[in-house]
Amino acid sequence: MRDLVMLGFMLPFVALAFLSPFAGYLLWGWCGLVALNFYLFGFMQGVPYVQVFALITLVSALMQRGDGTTLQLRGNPTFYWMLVFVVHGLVCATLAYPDLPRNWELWGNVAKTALFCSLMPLLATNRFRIHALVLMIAIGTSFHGVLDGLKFLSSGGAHRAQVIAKFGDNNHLAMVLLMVIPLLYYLYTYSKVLWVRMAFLGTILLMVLAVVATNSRGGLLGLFAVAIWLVYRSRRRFLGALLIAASAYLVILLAPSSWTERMDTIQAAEEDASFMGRVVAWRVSAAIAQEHPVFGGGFRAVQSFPVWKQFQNAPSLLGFVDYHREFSYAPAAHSIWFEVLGDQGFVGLAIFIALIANAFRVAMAVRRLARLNGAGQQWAADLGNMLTVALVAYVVTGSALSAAYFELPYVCMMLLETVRQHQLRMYESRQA
Amino acid sequence: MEGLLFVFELVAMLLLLWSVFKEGRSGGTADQGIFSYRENLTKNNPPKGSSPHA
Repeated sequence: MRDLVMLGFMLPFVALAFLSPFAGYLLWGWCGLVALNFYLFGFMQGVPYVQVFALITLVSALMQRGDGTTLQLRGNPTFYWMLVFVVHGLVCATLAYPDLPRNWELWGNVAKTALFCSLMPLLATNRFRIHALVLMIAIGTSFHGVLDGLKFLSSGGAHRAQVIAKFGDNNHLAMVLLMVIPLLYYLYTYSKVLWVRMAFLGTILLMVLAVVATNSRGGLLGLFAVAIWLVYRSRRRFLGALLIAASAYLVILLAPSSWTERMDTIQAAEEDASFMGRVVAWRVSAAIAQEHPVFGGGFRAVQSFPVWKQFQNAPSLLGFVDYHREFSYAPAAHSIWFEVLGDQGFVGLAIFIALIANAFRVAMAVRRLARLNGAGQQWAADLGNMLTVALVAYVVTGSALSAAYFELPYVCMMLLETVRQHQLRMYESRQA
Repeated sequence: MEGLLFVFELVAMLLLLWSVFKEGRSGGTADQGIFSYRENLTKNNPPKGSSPHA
């Protein structure tokens, strides 16, 4: 049944994608975020939705349909850093240890994400389109949280979040949900129709409950980080604080004792075998980077058992971590920083850090430009602030996760750049 | 519940794409009334002589 419904919707989707390159672009991004294939079980399951809409977008954009889409290339530092990251990653993947199962798949993901992002400033050329992009991200991502939030609510806190393979595990899902909360807050603030605003407000509360339902300790830390940054970066601090208080009350009311007991173990991390296993993975990743400082060991080298055995007791920057245990498998890096370090060496890590630091610099430029552009442009500063909150959620939660190549943070970085370019164009036209 | 939410997701996306299509037909100028212009104007007075290239 669901496949038939999907087929019915595909007809207008494809038609609109052909008629409007930007509509195709939104579908391209949305299909990647919502991961349609995991929610279909019949003949529509095998359709490569992302590739289909990527192709349609590229074709229709080149045909220049006169819908306001103008493919005028304008260099920007965010794109250049992404390009450097992709090219460096290509060399890393080429020189990688043999038989890394996900080596080329992960590099391909990064390259496809960079291609998607590179088109964003060309297609999202005005406020409406930027708003539509934020809506697309919110619709595509919050879908995963709304369901778990509702189940958590209806089960009185007993529900545990179901994670689809796209995200990996519960910690990854918590990270994704945390990243979308600031964007939902932006939409709540700037949507025109009252019931739409209320719907976004309700979705924020469901996202918080879904994060609790993931049972992720990293998710709880990320929730604190998002709460603090949301209030710090919000112009409506009282409203933000009120929202956080309401969410906290709901969590206290609904969270079962098993959740509280698990969260309490954060304080005893050194005695936790799971946490210490991660620290050992960081040590091994650092050892790989010391052996290959420029190009690392290749994508997910640390998760190859022969590589793991080779570097398990090798000299490492984290050699002071005195924890020894025999592993029968090669665990994941469990940190975006150590993941990139092991995969792409110190040079790759430096590029990755530069990419993230550049995003925060762009956010500052957006705030400044919005102020200079005067009345009516506060939305740009507010969106820039909320995108930085999303990136803070990524950095905090991702510090204990292998999520360096997940597309959403890169999309947020390029969205910041798109807002900056929009504000810069406006400033230049006012000066002219 | 998941099936209903899935359909809701598709409908929401279709509505968004339709407004994008209409905006495109208008030459990229109409806002389709999906966002609010509520702004805090007092915070938007540009300081004189400032440069955007920080």
